[in-house]
Amino acid sequence: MDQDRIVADGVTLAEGDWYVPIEGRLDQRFEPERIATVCHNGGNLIRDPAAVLSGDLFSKLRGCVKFLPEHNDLTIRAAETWMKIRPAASHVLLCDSAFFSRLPPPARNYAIPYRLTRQGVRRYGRNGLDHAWAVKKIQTFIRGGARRVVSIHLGARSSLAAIRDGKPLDTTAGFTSVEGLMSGGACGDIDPTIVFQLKASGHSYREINRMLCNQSGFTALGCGRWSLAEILGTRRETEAVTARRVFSYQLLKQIGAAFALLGGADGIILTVEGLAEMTPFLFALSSSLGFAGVTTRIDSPFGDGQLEITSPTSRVRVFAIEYDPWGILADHAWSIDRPSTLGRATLGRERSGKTTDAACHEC
Amino acid sequence: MLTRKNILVFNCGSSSLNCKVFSAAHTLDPKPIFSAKAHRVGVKGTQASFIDFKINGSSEKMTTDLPDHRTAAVKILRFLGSKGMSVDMIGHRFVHGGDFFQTSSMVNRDVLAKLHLCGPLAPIHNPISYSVIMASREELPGMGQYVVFDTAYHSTIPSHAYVYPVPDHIVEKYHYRKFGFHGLSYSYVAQAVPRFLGVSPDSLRMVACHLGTGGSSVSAIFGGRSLDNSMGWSPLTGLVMSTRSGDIDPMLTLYLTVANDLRPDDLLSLLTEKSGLLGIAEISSDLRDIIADVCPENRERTSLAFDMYVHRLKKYVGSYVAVLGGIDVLVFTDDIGATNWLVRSKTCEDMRWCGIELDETVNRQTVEPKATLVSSPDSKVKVVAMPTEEERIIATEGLRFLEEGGLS
Repeated sequence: MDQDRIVADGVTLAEGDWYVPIEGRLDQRFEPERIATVCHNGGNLIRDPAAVLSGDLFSKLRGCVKFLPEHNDLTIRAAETWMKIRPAASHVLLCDSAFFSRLPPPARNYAIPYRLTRQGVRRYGRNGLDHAWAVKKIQTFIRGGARRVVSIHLGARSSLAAIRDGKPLDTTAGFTSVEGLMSGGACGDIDPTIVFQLKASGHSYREINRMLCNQSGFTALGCGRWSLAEILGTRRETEAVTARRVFSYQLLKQIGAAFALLGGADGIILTVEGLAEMTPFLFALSSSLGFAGVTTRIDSPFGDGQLEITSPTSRVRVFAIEYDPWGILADHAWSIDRPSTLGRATLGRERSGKTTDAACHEC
Repeated sequence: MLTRKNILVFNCGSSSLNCKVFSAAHTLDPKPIFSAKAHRVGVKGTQASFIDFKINGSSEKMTTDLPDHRTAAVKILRFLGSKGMSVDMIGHRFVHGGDFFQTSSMVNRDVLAKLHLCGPLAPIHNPISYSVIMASREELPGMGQYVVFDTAYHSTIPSHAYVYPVPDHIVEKYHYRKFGFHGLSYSYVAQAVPRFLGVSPDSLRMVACHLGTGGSSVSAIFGGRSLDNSMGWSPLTGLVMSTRSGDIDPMLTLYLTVANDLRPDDLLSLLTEKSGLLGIAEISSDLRDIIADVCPENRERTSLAFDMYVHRLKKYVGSYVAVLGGIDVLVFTDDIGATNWLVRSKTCEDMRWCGIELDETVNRQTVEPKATLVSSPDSKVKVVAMPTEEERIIATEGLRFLEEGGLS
């Protein structure tokens, strides 16, 4: 944990996975003003990306355990513990699936018997906090804003979202994050009949789960030990040729699908793990979208972890940003007003503005 | 040179059975002299099943129970017999030939055994085609029969599009990859559409939507060759279909099996026979019923079913436009594609970003299966509604067998 930065930001970001063991080691002088806990799947109950942790929200969180039992159970324990040991802080819950909780029904539902849809079998998406942040970010890059946005996250678990007027129209990840683009060990979109066939051939469900979630994707194509930046960059040009082709093709298809749903796009924003290494790939990808109004530039201004790939006159503008997960979470954590019950000033500015509020500066 | 021969072709759709008799003296010129189409075969719907016959310029309609394709085939063969029409050979569409068949094949005992083994690869189609082959053997013992496979046309799909990134050992053992389907239909439109438009097929970027009453798919076609198809290893994936789910999260299958304590066969049946439009709307598996709003009290769900159908279709069209680096021709074919103006209209809505613009008046008037240009004169992309003729492709294969002396 980068405690210095977190203190400077005036917010502590707690993920269920690692929090519980940390209690005994916490510096007693560490008095964060705001503590945010991340929930990865809030099912159909948690619909705000950031919300003050209240009794009602805890009830909803408990109702969501079934959607992601191991993670969500830890999230509850972490949030409860933080509230107990730092009662003076304002506590918020950041929910990764909330941005997609309002997906339109044609994108949200699977074409399966409706009784299963009623039971909560639907698409929940992934990287919702990243996409929600990215679509706001691109508004600051394009004069007059961008109504139709394709947001792409490229990293350990990549995903794409089609967003119109700030609201998601569709996304690649589904009921689980396995659906959509392939990742390190997960297969992405494949014919689900394969599951039946494997089962009929004598494989156990545990084996099938392991094969499709851990031994597929880049692992199956021989690139499991490398980051996406290595695979798509130039360092593994020879070894990763198949993986790069398959992934690029999957991504291109998803971009085309997003364009069709949006009726074209005003902007594409990519949050990228390893931007410098992936830059040539991003230019090549953008060049292949010339037919849709993307005109790449030759000399891209690169600085402060961000890059414009297109020329200013391009009909569709493309921007790429180095992925800063903690920064994005902090921005979300500060995006809501502090509960007035704490009796403090509640300005709730974006972290990037460096002017949160008086209480923050005290941290 | 052949003497004139009559080739009877059976083409099983998931909820229909097409039959045509072609008369020809050589492979270039098969002429249809009889056609029959059984509608709503095995369909849970609100309207009766029936067979349309066309022979010697006249039409007949037989309203009758059609619980399965075997029954429909027997009724068609007996109707032909009652009209005194003889045939020399019977050809069948067979959706999935697996690894056994890369080309068309005459039917013999060994081939029958392999076709039977292919059943689970396309659980809706292969068993019904097999049942029609067996019914034909019983009705016309000794008649030469052959099979033509849908999967063959898609053999040009490049590896980056057909690879499933799953462990090597299961790919090698079970041959997991995208095969693609409706190949006979795409093979036909890939040749017929450039002819209709008077353009060269070379370098033509075409997205073709085969929208049937049962199964549907989309293909990306470049220069007449398949680059991708929305179906996969099996015909379950891709678009929302009449009773098939199309694309779903692969892990959902595991979740549903465990959460609902289902056997794999039950879940396969759920996703292939009880999902799709039927699963969403519950009143019918037929898109025409859903559009016709046959059950107004269920309007919310029928609207949802239609919207989901169009949403998925639009996504695939967009995907393939991107794959092709732009598009020259968009084709709508088969029963729904060639005749349903609303599906075409909604699919092409807001698609000017890639140059697609419909002439809404012409499109609305195009409700009969006839090749029609439905794009506006200013549209950069030609949009064509065209009936498919899978049967002609099958007949041509049969004539080739006869020319090569393959009739056993």
